Amino acid sequence: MAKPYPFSAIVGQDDMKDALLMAAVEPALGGVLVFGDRGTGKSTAVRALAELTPELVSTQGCRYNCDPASPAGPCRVCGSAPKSARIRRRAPMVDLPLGATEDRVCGALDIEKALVSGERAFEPGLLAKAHRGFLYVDEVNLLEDHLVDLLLDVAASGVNVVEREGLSVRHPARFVLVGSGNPEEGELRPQLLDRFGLSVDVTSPADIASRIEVLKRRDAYEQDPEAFHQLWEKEEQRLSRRIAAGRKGVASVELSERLMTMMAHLCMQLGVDGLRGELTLMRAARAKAALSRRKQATVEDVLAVAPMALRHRLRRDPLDEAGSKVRVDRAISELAGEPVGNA
Amino acid sequence: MPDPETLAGLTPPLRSLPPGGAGMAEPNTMPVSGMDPRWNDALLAARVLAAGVGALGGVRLRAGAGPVRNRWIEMARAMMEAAEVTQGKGSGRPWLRIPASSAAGRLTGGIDIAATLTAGRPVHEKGLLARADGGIIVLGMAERLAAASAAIIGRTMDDRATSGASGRSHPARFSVIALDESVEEDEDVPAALADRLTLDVRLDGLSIHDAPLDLDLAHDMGADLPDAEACAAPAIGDDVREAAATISLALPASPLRRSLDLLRVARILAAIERSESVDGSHLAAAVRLCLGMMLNTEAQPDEGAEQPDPGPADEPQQPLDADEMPAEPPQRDQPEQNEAESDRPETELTEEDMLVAAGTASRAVLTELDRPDRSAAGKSARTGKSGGFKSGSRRGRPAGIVSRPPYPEARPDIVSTLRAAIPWQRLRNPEFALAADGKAPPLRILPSDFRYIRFRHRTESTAIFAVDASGSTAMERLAEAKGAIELLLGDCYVRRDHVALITFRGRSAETLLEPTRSLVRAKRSLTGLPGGGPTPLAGAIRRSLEIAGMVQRRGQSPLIVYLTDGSGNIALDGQPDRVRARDDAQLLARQGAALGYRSILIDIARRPREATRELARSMQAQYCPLPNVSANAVNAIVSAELQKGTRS
Repeated sequence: MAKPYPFSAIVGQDDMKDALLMAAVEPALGGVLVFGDRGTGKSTAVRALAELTPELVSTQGCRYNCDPASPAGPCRVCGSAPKSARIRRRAPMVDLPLGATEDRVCGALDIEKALVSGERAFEPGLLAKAHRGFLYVDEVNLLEDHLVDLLLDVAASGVNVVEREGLSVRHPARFVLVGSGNPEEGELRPQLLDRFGLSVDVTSPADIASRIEVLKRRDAYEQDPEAFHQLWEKEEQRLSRRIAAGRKGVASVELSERLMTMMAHLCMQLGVDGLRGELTLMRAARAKAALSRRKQATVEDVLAVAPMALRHRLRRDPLDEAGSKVRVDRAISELAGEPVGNA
Repeated sequence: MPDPETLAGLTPPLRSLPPGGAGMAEPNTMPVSGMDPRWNDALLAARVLAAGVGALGGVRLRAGAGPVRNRWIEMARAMMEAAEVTQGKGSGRPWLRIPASSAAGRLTGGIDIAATLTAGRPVHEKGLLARADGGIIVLGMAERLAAASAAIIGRTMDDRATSGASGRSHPARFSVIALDESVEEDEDVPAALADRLTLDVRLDGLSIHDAPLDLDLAHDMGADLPDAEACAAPAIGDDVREAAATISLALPASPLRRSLDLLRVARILAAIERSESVDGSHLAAAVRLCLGMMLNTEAQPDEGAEQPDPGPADEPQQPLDADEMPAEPPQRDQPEQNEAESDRPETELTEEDMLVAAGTASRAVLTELDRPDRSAAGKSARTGKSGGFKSGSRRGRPAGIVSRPPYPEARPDIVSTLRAAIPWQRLRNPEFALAADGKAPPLRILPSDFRYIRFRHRTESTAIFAVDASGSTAMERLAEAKGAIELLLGDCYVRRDHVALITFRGRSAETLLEPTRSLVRAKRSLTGLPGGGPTPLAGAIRRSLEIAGMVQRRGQSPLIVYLTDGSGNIALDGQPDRVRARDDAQLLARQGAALGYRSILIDIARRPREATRELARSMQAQYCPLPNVSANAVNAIVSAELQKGTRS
């Protein structure tokens, strides 16, 4: 497979790019939901993102993609021969196809082995494959509900538990869940929406200039992918370093008391149910600051991430067609209008 | 030839372009004069496809099954083969025909269980998509393709590689010829695939006489096609790029992929003409081929009528849109467009500007392409949420063991497979015997032993009645509505359908009956049905949509039945305001349509009004004027619709 289109060469779509970068820096964010028209570069961006993340070390032949420091329980390769050859590889970028069955996703009894040699073995599924990487679900709104439940559950807990067909297996599955879809073809249940960390809307660019730029770059990429990559190599490396630095720094980013208060106010004002909104807001603000290599999150960080962290958590009003982004923006401007902290 | 003219009518500035601007009729792209221009364009599209196999997404071939379609396919294939021969690659390009019902597993490949067991070692099977690498996939009945399969095909087209269950990646560069036979409005090629199909060929309305089969011609057309390298060579100027961007921006939902497609096709067209750069005429031809805009210019209504239909496909919809879309707009919209253009300051009218203007000029035409009615309701009805409609259900109650997979990816049930295999062990292995220590030789299991669990998922429908109890509908109608509900519930009990009832009068709508199957309960709540007061229609629609959503989440399919005279006069917030009330009702109606709920609007006004019909159209509801309401008539309408739902 040819190298995917470089991330930094994607024209516009800054919200989406920001959200994906933040998720790459802070996996605990809980994934990104990208909703928008077809052909707006959703898949392109996600695929390109995997190229930017730091390489992983794993054991040769390991099917669970274990971290050598803490091998998964059922993994035979890492468990039985802990000193086998190590390989460096890109963070996995696993596509979950729409027609995937539950067996395929979470793993199941290896039927071939069971029937041919009578052995009861577990065949890891896509969740194991996506461990320490990204799991990309295109058209997540068309996925069967029980599969979405399962995905979100595993994404939140980081552990895949399989209890079926006489098997009892648990293995780690920590991945960044990225869902995309076209809302016109179906909605996600609000409960599921709430469990995605960030949500962004993408639209195709409405000005001629950027559309032409898209055409130019795409054309150049198709004509000669290698040359195109070389052209963007510097940008890509810079971004890659930013992610690596962000990952290191994200845990130590400080959030002042004032910012916490502000987040809480924002969520209260918008009537966001539950505490997940505040938590995501906090993590996203940290990730945003870490991406800019700062030790301290600022008001701007919070305001920048608030729309994508909160918009999908608002109670839906069937008549408010303006969308929840406007409501979030309104609340933000109200907050920002007065001195932050004593609101 | 009307073709260049109409096209030029659409894009007058193109004519002023010096290089070949007026001469769309180069010998190369116009093979035979006197041929039906639609067939001509169809062949040109085939030629472009033959030149760009693997690089282009493919063709959406809109036609009923019939000789015309077969001829096109045959000629396209002949062109491709001729091109291969001249390019000295030998004829090795795969040409696969895949039915729309192909299982996802077959598309991507994986372990062939049966072969594995027979051989005693894992046998990997290449998926259909990987087998088509470098060639063409002909996708029969693409409008019946499952969304999941479409997503897989679409993704493979993006990645140019496929990886099956075994995790092995195979190259898969192919172009798709999607045979689109959609007739009904709610049938459409799944968007994930349709969006990636580059060319749009419409053969509907072409008779056999318009479409002669000429394999020699096809051979000639294919023989001098440029190879892939030459196809990528022509340079694209910024002006052309700008025009393509403008055109795609004007399209509904402004898809970016379309502009890429336009450029790709224009480039191939330029390469076919051995031109070194892409100019306006190529782009104009590309617009014709990709957007299917100018293909049916000649289709006079009477001409369409006298032709024997190649298939049953084009009865109501296709000629209609064929006529209203390409034939009218060029002439009609041109003057308006000129006015609009003249408003602009005439500072720099260079050729590039003209190209852009050409793009904007086509906006009017393109809006005709925007058919919002086609149809959110239909599409989302197939998104997999309506599990009730699916055959071979994957969930529900186990309903027996079968020896054939009930759905394509079914996995064998271990216990019943073993149970089926054990009686044969003595025959298959004469030494087989359970030893005293409980150790036995391994079981010999053949593919024929596989057993699968079949699931049965009940298909249930819920009819949600929204009954107008306001003063504007007379009391006796209310009584008939009650009667209809009771009748329906009587039947429903047999069919396991549920019924809910909402009434609206005064300031708001209230739910009198939660979805239920209980006739007794329904009767009790119906007895006290009060009437009189103003009509909060919008509130009623909202309430019914809420209930429909609830019903759908339970896995049932809702059917909303409105009994009203359509004259709502209470806005959603409870204020009496006729205009706002109407707007709110329209808005909610469209929302319901977008959510994909089936609905029926039974107009019980003494004199049915256009506004009510309009409302029904907005919610994509079946509209039944029924001035003399009777319980039996209502019952008949709803029962018919419910049964239609469970059958489809």
